[in-house]
Amino acid sequence: MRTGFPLSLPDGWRAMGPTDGVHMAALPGEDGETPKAVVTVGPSDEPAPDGLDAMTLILDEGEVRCRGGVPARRLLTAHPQGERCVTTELWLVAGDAPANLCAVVDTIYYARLRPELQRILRSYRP
Amino acid sequence: MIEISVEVDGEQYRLTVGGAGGLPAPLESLPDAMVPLLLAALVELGPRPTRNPQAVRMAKAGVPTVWVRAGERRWRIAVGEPGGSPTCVLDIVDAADEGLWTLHASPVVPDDETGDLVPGEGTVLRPITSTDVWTWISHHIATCT
Repeated sequence: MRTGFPLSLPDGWRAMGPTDGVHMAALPGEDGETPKAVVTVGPSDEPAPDGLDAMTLILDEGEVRCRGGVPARRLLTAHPQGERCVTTELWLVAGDAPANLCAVVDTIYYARLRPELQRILRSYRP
Repeated sequence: MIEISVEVDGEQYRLTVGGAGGLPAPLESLPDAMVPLLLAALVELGPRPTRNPQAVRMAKAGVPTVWVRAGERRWRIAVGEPGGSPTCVLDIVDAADEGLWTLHASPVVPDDETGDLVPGEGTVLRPITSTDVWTWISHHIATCT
């Protein structure tokens, strides 16, 4: 589904923004308040997202490709946020339209949402 | 409530999660939701080279030195009911620059002379990514905490 958002979002996701050049979409949680996951698309010169600090574990990294073969560097991290554990997929897109794609998900939902998040991030189209 | 057993290089740690007083003394103030991070830190989960998913390593049972090479670390995460047998087990050989491998029982082994696969009790190692391990932790542990 195309919404003017630079990523293809499955049903259930709500796109917002952009605000200060950053697009955001969220997958609402069961309580309708705390989202299960949030994805953002920002400029490549954006600072690292919240949580990339001493408490952040870098779990995996490697090369991935978005739509059209556009290369990106992928970082998988996890960090505490309040009393929750949060998992972050950060894709640093290179090429003609560099951008930072970020998916933040409560770790309890990561296994279930991983395929969907990968599809969303891979769909990046500037 | 679940019991998690983590064995790293012969050292065993036991955690009971999801009930009062689950974590051992130095960690008792840690929220249960932090257990996945604790496990990842215990096993030193982190970026490893990605191997071809078709690659396998095989060995006969009882000859672990064939497949655990110098410098490789073994660890296991087991999850189950407190006091019961584990219901889910992740066995990993961490071969550093050669990536992470999961251990599985194999009904065939390589023949000593020909290298052909013949019936026997053996072990097969298949490559796994750090992301897959974190996904396993998310599925089996984060959802219970």
